Amino acid sequence: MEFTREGVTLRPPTEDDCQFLADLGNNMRTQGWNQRLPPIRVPEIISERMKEGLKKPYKAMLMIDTDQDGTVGYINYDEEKPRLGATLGLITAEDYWGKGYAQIATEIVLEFLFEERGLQVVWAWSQSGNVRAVGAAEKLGFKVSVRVREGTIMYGKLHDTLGLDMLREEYYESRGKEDKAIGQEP
Amino acid sequence: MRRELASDKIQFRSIEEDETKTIHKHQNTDCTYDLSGELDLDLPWAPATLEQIKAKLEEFQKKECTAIFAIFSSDDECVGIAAFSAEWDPWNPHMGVTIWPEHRRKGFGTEAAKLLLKAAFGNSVAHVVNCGVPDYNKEGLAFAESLGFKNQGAERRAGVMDGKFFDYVLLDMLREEYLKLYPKGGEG
Repeated sequence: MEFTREGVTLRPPTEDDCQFLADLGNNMRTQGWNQRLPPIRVPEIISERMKEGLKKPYKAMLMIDTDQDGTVGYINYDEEKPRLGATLGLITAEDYWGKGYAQIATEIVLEFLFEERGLQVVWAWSQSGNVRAVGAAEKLGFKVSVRVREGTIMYGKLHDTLGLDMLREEYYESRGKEDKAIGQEP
Repeated sequence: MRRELASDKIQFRSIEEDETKTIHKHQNTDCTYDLSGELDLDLPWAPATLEQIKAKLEEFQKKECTAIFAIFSSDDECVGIAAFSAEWDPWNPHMGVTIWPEHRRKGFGTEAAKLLLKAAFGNSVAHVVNCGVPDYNKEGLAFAESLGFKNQGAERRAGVMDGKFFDYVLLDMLREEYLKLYPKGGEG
């Protein structure tokens, strides 16, 4: 399969991306965790973490490049249960929200995880206050399956931490594809 | 002597050599899945060596705001273990209790869980406490709900057991719920 689709390409991060990644982590609107962290990220720390991440199998972080706007964000996954399930994460810079880049990047990685890695489930986490992200995930076919009530504080309000997931057969059915590799029983 | 983490029925104590051997014995026999999950062993069905158990306990001990300890009865017997972690976010810690099968249905689990809740809500800033149970563990689910935890759904296909996928049920309790259920700080 190709990691390029509709003007979006996923590629490995480089040292040149570290400032961009630090900026994303320091921006309250793009931080992406379920608790606020102070804006202390610097490229050197990002670089160290990238190198640590490379030592671990079953994990990947890929930059999202676009023909029109250049580098717009990153997508990552961690196969905590190798060959069973992975947790997906994605951040795009604010300037590029609403352009569909996140959807395309996620679709590429979902194809890789289900069709090339043979996974049974993909999980993702968000917060009930992040209506945009949750809506985008549900549009792709993720379902809210679990929550931690009032687990997140954002912009002075309490929100639920939300766990979303997509099963293998839900991926194939929603995309009109046939699962020729394996079924859904172990 | 004032003992914070204790009731008339149980006391929490650190896991030392004897308790490590007890944990090892139960992980190899009647609590393999429970303890493999608690200790985050890679192969939940496989018996671990004493050295592997020690290594995992040491890993726990190095984590911030995380503790795993032995539960002792008033007869001075180790009846199980309890775990508490606020490593990622003290606002939302996670807790768990494992009682050895021969000591179940005697109230030890309930006492241990109440003390952990007291520690979380009475002695820290926790706003919501989590616990998790595989959906095949009906007894564990009923136990968590009997304490006042509320089922908030499940992570689907969290693992495989007996040839089928199982889901991992997440339950939570808010501070305001704890204060209503246990107005005397766990003695209610």
